Amino acid sequence: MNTVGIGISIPKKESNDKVTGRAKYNTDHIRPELLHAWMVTSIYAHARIKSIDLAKAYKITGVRAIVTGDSCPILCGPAIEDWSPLARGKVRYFGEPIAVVVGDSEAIAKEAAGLVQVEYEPLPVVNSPAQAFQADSPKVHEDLAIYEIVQAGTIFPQPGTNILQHVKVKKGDLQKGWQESEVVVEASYSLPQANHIAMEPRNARAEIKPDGQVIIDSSTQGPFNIQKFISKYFKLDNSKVTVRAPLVGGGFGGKTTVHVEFIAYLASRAVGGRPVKLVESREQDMTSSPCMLGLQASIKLGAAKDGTLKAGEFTLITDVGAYCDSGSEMARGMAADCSGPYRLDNLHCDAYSVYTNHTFVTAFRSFSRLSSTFALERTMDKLAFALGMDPLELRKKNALRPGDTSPTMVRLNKNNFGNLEACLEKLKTLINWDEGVRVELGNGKVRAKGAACLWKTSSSSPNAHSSAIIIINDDGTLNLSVGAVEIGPGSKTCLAQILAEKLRMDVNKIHVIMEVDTSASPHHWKTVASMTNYMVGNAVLEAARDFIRQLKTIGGIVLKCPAEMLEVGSGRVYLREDPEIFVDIKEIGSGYQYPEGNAIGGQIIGRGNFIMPHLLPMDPSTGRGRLGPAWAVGAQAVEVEFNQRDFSYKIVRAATVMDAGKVLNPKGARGVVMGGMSMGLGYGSREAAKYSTGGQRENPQLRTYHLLRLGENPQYLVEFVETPDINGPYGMRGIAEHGIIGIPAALANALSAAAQADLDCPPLTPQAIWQACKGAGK
Amino acid sequence: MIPFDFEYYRPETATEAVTLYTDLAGRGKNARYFGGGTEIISFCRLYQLYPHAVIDIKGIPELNTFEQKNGKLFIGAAKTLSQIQESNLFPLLNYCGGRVADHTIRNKITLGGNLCAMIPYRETSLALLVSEAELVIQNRKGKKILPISEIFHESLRLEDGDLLMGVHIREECLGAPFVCLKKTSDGNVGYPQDRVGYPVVSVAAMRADNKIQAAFSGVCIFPFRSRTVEEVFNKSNLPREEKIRQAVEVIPAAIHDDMISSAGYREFVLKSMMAEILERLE
Repeated sequence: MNTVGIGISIPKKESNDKVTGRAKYNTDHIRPELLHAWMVTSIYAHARIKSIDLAKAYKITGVRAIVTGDSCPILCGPAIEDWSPLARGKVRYFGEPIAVVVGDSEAIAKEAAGLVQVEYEPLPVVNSPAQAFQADSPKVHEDLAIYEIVQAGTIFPQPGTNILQHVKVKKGDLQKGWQESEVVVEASYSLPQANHIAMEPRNARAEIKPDGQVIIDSSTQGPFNIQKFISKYFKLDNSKVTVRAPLVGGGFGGKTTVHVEFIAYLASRAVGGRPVKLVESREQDMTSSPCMLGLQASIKLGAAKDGTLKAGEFTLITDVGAYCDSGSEMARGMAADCSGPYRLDNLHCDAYSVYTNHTFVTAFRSFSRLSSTFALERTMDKLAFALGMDPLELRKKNALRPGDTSPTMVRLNKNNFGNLEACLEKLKTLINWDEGVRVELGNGKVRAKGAACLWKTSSSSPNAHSSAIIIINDDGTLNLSVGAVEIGPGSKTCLAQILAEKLRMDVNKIHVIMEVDTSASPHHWKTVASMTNYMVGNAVLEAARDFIRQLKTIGGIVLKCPAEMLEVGSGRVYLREDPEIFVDIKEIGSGYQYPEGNAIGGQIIGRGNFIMPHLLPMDPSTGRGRLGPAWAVGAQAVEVEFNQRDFSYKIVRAATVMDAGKVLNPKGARGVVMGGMSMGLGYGSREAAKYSTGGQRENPQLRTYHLLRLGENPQYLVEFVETPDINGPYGMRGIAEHGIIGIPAALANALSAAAQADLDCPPLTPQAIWQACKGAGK
Repeated sequence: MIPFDFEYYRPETATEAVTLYTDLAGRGKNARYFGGGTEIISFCRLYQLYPHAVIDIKGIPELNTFEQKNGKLFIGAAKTLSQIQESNLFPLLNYCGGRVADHTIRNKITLGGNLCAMIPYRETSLALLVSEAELVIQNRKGKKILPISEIFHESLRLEDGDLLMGVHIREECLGAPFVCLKKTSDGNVGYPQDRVGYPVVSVAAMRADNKIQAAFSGVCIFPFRSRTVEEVFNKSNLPREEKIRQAVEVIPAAIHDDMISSAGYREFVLKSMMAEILERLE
């Protein structure tokens, strides 16, 4: 059978458009009546706004309106309502939007924005999570006590402090664990905030039609989320807001939040509902819109002499910047997965989110699990060193297995966890681990390897759901419509592959609808958390079953037999016992016409939905609960060539073995994992948001904020293990984010071995290594 | 997007350009000579520069030439760093200019633009300082030719309205043995360029008349060539470590400390680069 479905590498459906430059992104749409907006942003990290003078700005010809926070007295936020789309009273971070100017052209709006005179009274700045914690620290939010909590039971702010979240996870008997520990290691880590740097900066268009219908076009991962929040905060019926999302030029979590959409809406409202386009400059995308969180971590691990982990204590303090957004949720996710994929029966974890006067944060690829993983996996290497044990062996010895429990007491089985040991075994061969962790090459050079494991489950709302619709065309091809946004990894193609597999028909005969339109597309929670193929894929399977049922019903009438005797495949409905007796689905898909001319039936439309069962919020005192349906696990390694004379290094190879459950599109999956690895190497080696002593962002530009560039990439080695998850479509697990998770840690482990110094604070630039070696007296 | 209007001129002769500059100044207009525009555009975009007019000098034929005559190579100020690299006439300048920004941007950046840049590294100056280049400058009064040492002190000290036409380099310098090293915060930069970024330290050194001549960028807030440093380098009978120790002590200003590098790390890098210069050129 030449059916084309899952397990084969086909190009993404949108590839031709993308490589020829024909693909349309949100800012490519131009209309004559469109107005343009530009934001006025704060030049202080913490200051009282004494006055805003708009007179000069209004003198520019072509300025239509200028909106400030005072004209929009609302507080919003997905977890706690602590944020105003335009600052009111004071600014809490450098880059915070204060006003938005609407003009006939972007140049006019931008020129006028430069003429808005803001008078500030600078306030003392909270410039690090450690400082945020101090009792006498300035307070970023004086009103923490009166903010509305949206998700009760998931966020625990401490009024009068900068602490907005405290998550506790307690498992087993820690006292006993320490007693059984023969070797104990303890270390602290500090990881900076960083940026998403999607190729397409964040942007939105807003319009309010004469009938009150609000249209938002956005480069977003969550169109339904925008609909929800715009309607909530501007007191509109949900159906009065339509959000459209075309192809998105990269998200990495940064486009999960609702931010510029609020400001674009306010701008449109100020000009009588005319369409207004707001596009962030790269600098604004890096400072005004949310970034990746920072982390300060202390970890203490105890083990028996044979390497068996006995006890662990974790303190994770996340720097969420000036507003909460999903910062409190990320602290929960980190706490829930704090042990890494290791059996640790006695543990305590305290995870905090603290306000600082830094840019606020939102989801970042892996929901920032790469940060807590860095701290844990560095500690694992220190423990291996203290035990005199091979680091990979230590990981294998403690790898979680079916029957064990997670830190939040979820019982693991091969479906919800997969096979970490198999990943470690495969990694060992792939990176040629046995040649040694550290090899002197002579000439002052050393080759070294480091490894790390990864695991992650999603932090989904317990009521997150997805739907899918299949419509048949007259030529027998199908249109698949879903609510997931195509942000780059080729999800829509994978979903078409799932449908093709189920219907046993060529995937090229399945058209996917790229744009999501909340007024027409079926719902999907958000395109996040590596959950698209899992959640939407299940909805597609459900829709396919419905579609098949309908085909068989009408097929049975045509073929004069009960539906139970029929099968669907290769675009036909046929008799199971003799496939040569069949009817083409195009003959029956839009109604069947008898030879006599009369007809029955009508267009066949398959519909399906999916909601994740059994998710339970975490208990406030023990952490017991279940955040996501399943983990994806894997093992990663990085090999470096280190120059002992000048502390520079070359990343030679990077390897990942992931338990994908079932690989739907092999080349696509490898690409997604590689992309994650590349981002991880960038963060581990060079990326960091740098703040001055006054909290001002010092490197909000790609001139000074370096990414891993083409040509600096190492050789990437990616392989998969396939332990099916019975609940995932065809056994698949979500792996789209996971390639990033263990890479910064593996890099640090390799470099620490090479330099023979503890490298615990990324980014690991030659200067950082020089500093650490100098500190260690080398 | 540049958020304001400005006048744009594209003169065809140097005389026309300098006259235009003076005329604009007379009308109270602040003009800028415009080469590749990479700096002017990005500074304007960020509200950091507001010229009333720009005078694009790329249409002036003389500024767009390479010429070798009378024992000298002339490079026009409007030649881009990419064109200079492709011409391969002065390998040391290839190294210094060929590691500025990235390839796409070097297709825009001109030699004159880099020498007169506001961003302080001006790495092409290193090759010209060590080769004792002469600068050709045009103004209302006419044309003058000055050795770079007379006019480059931390930056190019042009007078208001002066137009840099190009540079002359003596032919004997073109093939002289040299060492050219650059390190960014991410690591060493190879040649051809394999890494992008501003220098922690960038150095160009040449052996001419049996002496080492060296110029540095990144170390201090400005690029420099120091005769005192060279004297130390060229002392006979002084062990290398001692030369490096003494040379670091006589550099013309405090070692710069910023987000790209701490002063301590810069000093470490500077010393190791000095060691490599001495090893390869002594």
